[in-house]
Amino acid sequence: MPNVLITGADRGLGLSLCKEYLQRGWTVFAGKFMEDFTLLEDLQAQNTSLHILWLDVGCEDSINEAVQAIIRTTDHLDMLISNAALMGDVKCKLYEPPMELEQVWDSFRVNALGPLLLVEKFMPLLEKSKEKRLCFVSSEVACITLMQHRHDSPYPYPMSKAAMNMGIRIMHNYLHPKGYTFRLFHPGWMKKRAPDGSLSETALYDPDFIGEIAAKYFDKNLGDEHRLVMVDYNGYEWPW
Amino acid sequence: MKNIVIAAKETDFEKALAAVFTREGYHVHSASDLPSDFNEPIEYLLDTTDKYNEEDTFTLTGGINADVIEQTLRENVLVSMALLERFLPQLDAGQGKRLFYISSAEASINETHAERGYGYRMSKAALHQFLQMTWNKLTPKGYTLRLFDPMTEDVLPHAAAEAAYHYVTRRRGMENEDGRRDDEDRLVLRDAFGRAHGW
Repeated sequence: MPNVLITGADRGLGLSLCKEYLQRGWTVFAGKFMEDFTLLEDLQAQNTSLHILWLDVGCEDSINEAVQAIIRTTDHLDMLISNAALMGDVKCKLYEPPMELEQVWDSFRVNALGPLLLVEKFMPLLEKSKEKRLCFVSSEVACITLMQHRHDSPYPYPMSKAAMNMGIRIMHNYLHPKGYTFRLFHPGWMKKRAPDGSLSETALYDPDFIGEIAAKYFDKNLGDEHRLVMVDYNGYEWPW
Repeated sequence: MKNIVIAAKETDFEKALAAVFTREGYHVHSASDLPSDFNEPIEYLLDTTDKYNEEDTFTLTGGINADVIEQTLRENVLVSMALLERFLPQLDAGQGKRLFYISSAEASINETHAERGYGYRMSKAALHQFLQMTWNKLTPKGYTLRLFDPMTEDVLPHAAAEAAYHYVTRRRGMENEDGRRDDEDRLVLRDAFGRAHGW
């Protein structure tokens, strides 16, 4: 059966994607980052195809260690799902000085540079797969065109996600001719899962509902693989 | 005499741009030379920040240099954010309320065919989103923004500076005094030939 690495798998969409691929019989490598969440361990107790590894995508050394951990189990990787992201409680708005500019770098480091390093480090394993599928969880706030008229958001997260999309474009230019296929997904506004597994009241969607949609989109083969597009949970394409 | 602030007068384009505005009767201050107690109203901020690291040539298989990417982000984005925050009160006090930034059509996610240059292009994409969000914040206060590709490889600095001057000082879409052609209600990236580029 195929295998997949999913980052940011402690909760939310990442955890839901783990469940989806385990149900499909895949071997799942789940990147864990949050010590106070044990939902992955609960899932592992029910399924031996789930392998948990510590992975901070904002840290190059951590990514290298995750590569070594996976190499001990397999010699290839079929699919990589870059889901981990940093939103943070940020103070970075005009007219509310001083803007905490280091938070722009922090967001960029995790959300834009992280996926780039992740793909680079796991390429030797991806190269040994016929699938070579790279999936990225992005956001509507990455969309520069439609960001117009959205007032008062803090800067770092949308800026980092726009930069991430650019990084993926350059990756696509380089890797698609080498047989890689890409998925870029906007999951919508999902409820947050607490350490006890309960979901928040705010937000619109259960991550399990979105996870099912995302897993289908990531897994299926498309007729227009040469195109790089960002698709949302309704299947609509978004502009850049 | 109207005050305008330019980020620096170091590159050939910056020197040419400062010279054009000086010729046209503006008092052009370099941000780095301004004393901290300078508090006169400013008409335009010409943020010419545009750094390209010569080591920013790696591909995914050539070894991603995270330090180069970080440095480029800091130089192209964080510097610009700090510059705007610093001069915002004086821009608020000025009449012009126009902000000018440098980018490149090669930093268009739509258009780029690049397989390398992650630092520059990702930093500019972040800058584009910063400017879109800043546009949201500042246009209700009467601000307009200009994003300009000087086409450094193809256009001589003085020609690019002349194009930039007209782009900065004219109301976009109003050249024919036809209000139906006004085009200030969106952020646009234009190059030195006047062409608009997608994000």
